[in-house]
Amino acid sequence: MSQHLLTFAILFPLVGAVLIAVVGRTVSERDARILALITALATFGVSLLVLRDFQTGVIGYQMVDRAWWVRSLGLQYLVGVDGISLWLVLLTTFLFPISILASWKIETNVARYMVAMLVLESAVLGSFVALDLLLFFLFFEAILVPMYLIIGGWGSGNRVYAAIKFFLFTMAGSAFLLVAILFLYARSGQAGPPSFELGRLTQVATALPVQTARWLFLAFFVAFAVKVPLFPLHTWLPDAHTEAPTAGSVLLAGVLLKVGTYGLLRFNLSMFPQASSYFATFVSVLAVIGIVYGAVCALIQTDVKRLVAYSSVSHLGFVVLGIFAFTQQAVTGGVLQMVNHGLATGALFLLVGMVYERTHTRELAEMGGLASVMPWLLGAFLFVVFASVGLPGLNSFVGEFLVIVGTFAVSHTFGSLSAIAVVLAAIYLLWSYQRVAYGPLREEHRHLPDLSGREVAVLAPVLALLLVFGIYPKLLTRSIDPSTCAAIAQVRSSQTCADVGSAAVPAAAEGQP
Amino acid sequence: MVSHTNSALWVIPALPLATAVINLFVGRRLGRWAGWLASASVIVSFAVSVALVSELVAKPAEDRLFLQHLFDWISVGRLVVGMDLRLDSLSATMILVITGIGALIHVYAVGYMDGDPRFGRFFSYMNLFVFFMLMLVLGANYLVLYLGWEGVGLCSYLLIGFWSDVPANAEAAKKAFITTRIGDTLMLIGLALIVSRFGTLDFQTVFGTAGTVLTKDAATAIALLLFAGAIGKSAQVPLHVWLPDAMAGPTPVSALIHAATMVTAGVYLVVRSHVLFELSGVALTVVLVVGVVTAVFAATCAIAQQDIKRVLAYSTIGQLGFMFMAAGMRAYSVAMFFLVAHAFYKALLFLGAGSVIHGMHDEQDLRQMGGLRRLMPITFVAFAVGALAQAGIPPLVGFFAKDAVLEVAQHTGREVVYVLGAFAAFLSAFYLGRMLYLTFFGEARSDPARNAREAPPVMWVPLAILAVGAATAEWLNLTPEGRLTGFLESVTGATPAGHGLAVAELAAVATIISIVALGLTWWIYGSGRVDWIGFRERLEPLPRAALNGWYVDRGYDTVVIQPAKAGAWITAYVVDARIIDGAVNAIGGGVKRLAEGGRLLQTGFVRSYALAVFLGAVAILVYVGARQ
Amino acid sequence: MRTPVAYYLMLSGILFMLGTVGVLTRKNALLIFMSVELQLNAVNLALVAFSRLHDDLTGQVLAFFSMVVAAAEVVVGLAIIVAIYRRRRSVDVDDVRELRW
Repeated sequence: MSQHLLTFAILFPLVGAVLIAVVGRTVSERDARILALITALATFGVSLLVLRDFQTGVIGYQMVDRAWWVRSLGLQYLVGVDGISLWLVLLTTFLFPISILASWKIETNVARYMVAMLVLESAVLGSFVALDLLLFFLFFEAILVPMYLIIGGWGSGNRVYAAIKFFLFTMAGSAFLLVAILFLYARSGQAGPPSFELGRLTQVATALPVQTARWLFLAFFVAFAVKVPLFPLHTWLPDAHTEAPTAGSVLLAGVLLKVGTYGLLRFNLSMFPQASSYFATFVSVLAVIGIVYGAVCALIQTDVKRLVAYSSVSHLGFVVLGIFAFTQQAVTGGVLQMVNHGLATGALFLLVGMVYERTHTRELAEMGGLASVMPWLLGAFLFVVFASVGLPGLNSFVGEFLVIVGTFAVSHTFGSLSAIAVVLAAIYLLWSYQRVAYGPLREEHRHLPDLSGREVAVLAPVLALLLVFGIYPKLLTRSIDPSTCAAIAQVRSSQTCADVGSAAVPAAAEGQP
Repeated sequence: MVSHTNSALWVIPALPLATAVINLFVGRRLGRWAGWLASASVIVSFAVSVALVSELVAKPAEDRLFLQHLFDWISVGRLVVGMDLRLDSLSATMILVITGIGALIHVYAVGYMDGDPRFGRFFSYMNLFVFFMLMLVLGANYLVLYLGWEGVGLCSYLLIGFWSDVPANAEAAKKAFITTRIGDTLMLIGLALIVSRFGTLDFQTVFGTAGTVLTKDAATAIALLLFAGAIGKSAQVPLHVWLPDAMAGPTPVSALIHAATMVTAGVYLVVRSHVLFELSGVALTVVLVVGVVTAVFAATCAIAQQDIKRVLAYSTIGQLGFMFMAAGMRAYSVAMFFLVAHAFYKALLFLGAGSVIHGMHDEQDLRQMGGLRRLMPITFVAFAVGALAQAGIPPLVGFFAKDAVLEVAQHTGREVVYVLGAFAAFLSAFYLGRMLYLTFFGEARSDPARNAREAPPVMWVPLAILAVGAATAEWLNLTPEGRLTGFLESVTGATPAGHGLAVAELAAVATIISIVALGLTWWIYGSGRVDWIGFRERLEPLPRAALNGWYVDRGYDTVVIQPAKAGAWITAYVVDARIIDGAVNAIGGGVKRLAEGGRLLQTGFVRSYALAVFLGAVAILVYVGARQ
Repeated sequence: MRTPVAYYLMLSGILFMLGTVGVLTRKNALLIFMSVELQLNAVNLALVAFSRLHDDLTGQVLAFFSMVVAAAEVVVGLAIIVAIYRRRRSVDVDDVRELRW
């Protein structure tokens, strides 16, 4: 039973999507929504079973499920989780029901919208648990289609431009990925049956000549860097975020970007450990630029969704910086930051969406004084703003702190520079909050309603987690830790994972500025 | 080995946290009870503190330590940071000030905030502040301290901007948070540096092993980064600009957060980390210089302020400078004694000012006051006690505190510090006298001043208690059973002693300085013989510059804020939108133009396609034939 | 006595040229279609002739393939032409150019 759980998690939304597609024309819009919500909740239930059966402290993949497709060609279905993907799976299954509930007000083509959402969930889950590179690539690409449809179909204003930009950017990146995967596949055929299996290809990749491995690293890197998005490949994100419907933005920030950072950690680091440490400085420089650059761009935005999008560029820079610092604290902090950013920025987009539904504007200049008419909504907003700012006791602080501390151990420069974002985040978030919440109220906003029961149901679980993960992050770190430790040991080719908890960090200066 | 575990420590911060949550959600329904509930929780917290501290005092000096491990907060690899609490003589002093003064201010606020539509919310934030402040001082490692440190910043933000419908208030709140955050971030880097050297953030380990682990340079780096946090939070030059604006908050907030407790957190941090500062040496000099500069600078600003609360704000900045001065001379226990004394008289002054503002229907301008001593006698007496205490009139507490600082300076041979300190003391007595006379003496200068009413008992009772405290708190440091400074020495080490003028001589000089300053102000502002408005005009533009804090704010705006905004604008709209995204769109556009050229080849005439096919086939045939 | 293969190839070539000219010059879709059939049959003839020459049945098999494909093509092609005729009462290929961009 437990070994098929992941497969169930992937299949549930797909089955729900088919069901809605079939009966979509005959049932009411309300029923389509409820059906989608039930499906997503059931998937969340399945993922909770995964969490229950997950054995903390065990290194390696668990609940591995395999099915052969074309055995002679090495084509197969192979999934499994470790401490890193476990939380991303849970984040995904957690955010989807919330996003569906947040999309209750979507009135056009409801059934189709829900189908796209559920297919998207299935694809995202698949890419987090796939242990076979071809399978991963299929899921990775499959994400694009429903997301393209969601932005292009239910977005606002300039949605078609944004959707196409999103699609082409990611496709351009994944072309390199496909070539690299096929190259490794061909290499694997030279010794034994060809295979796309991660374990096999890791062996193949580590045996490659240094120069080849570096090129392949770059091919993988570009694909994931677009998705993260890392400076200077980030310009699709503000457009996509701005034009996407609320749930689209939530999922884009909450889970889709994590596919990129997850890919860096899962594939680049474990398959090309030497190339990873060779490029570490280069990647870290990009990450630090992204951290500061995203924050600086966010300072001056007038569109609140664009502002949050740039803040995502900044926050995701932290994740990448952490991953490429190769210390226990930094990498675990990076993984933590993935989950935390998903929750905090997801919540931010939910709230922005709720404000937008009422005021019909995203321009900060056209808001103001809303705290006096919607105290609870803006109260929740403030809570999330402070979570994003990195207030200790709320979730984002833990990840940021660990990344800064872990990075600082290997490079004072990167550690200190990344801390600048802590100040900048306070400036742009508080400034924008001030322009939304305080000051004079517009006449037409005088009678806006506060949170509805449905919106409370949307927000309450997210806000609760922001607090819980801030006070007791050990819930997550104890299962993340062993997996990141294994990944770091590979890169540093040592038995221990570099740990700042010991008085002196081993190999702190090794290959690092 | 004595086990220091005490499992009751958590109760002290938990009580205000619990009532903060209750008031946040159901405060509206509780009505006026929300305020009493909040006050009660702080009072009970104070009682628990007193019980625990007396338990602590009962122990021999070297055993005065309680620890409690609540749970592992952040634990990754070998870096384990617990949610740990620590009660020693230093944190004991702090929690008594926080809960004691805090309780009085809560009670006062029940009266002051009466009728505010968000009464419950106000007390929720106040309780939350007390919780974070207690975590700050009770934390047994730097991260718990940092939790409290940022938490009080949050509450300060919420409370400064409490009346947020006025844009200036929201602006002041944001400015306070961001300015202090600059210091906090440097402090965070300092924490990272500590982790990278020690592998832990625990006070016990860090201070215990600092001597062997740290080089002098590393100690200097850490100490200065921590001090940057202190500069921000304690509003020292050059990050002092937020505190005068923070007066936008309700007056009880100014009393609790921006006078008695939060702003003193920087002093606490330096005293707590004194081991690191001493290892560095240089860092202590920096602390001393910042303290002296701030004390003099703030006093010059305070003289010219027209807003009663802004006088007190600059006065607070200056008094904090005195505390850093003491700390910079290694007289940590003197700094703490000063902190306690200041908490009494500055809370008293703020609450008194609040009472005046309340009585005059939200008028804060000194020029509109005058003659209030007849209409508000209780407030007058309390306020006068506070002002005289700070001005350094014996036997009030401020005299002893200030005298102790100047004594250390003189006795350790720092004559410049002594002279500048005495000058700052003179200025502070001067502005206090000015404020006192302009507010309470002479003729009423406006209608609100003529119709002012005395505060209700719920407000004047705390005032009276604080006045008694400000008049008698020196007993804390004079009792035969043990002086406060002695009690603290188990944490802070002994106060440096030296030779110089006799204590009595120093006291006489200080008293004369204060009396001269007060006499001078009486002559200018109180006697009615001097046209002080005309006098001020003749001195222009000096008063105007001092009123505006010597234009530091404006300087920051031109040198930092405007260029930063322009830079951000260029980054976002030129670099990002034009260059990077421009490149992206250029690639897209290039492909599109290529395709537009290419599609012209498609004429739509089937036979021209067929001809192309035919010609192509012929060409291939010719090519193949030619090769053979 | 065998007819020399050159005769078949000559005939095939002539037929193919006729078909080609027809495709290139006619405007009527039906006639173009018939000309294409002519080309196909010319190729079939050549295939069968070579098959005979080399005593190898592969050529004939290929010819059958080509006939089947031609038949299928006729079915689809005629259907399209009829559909176009119904819609616009004309089978002039120069008129049908809406799909070019």
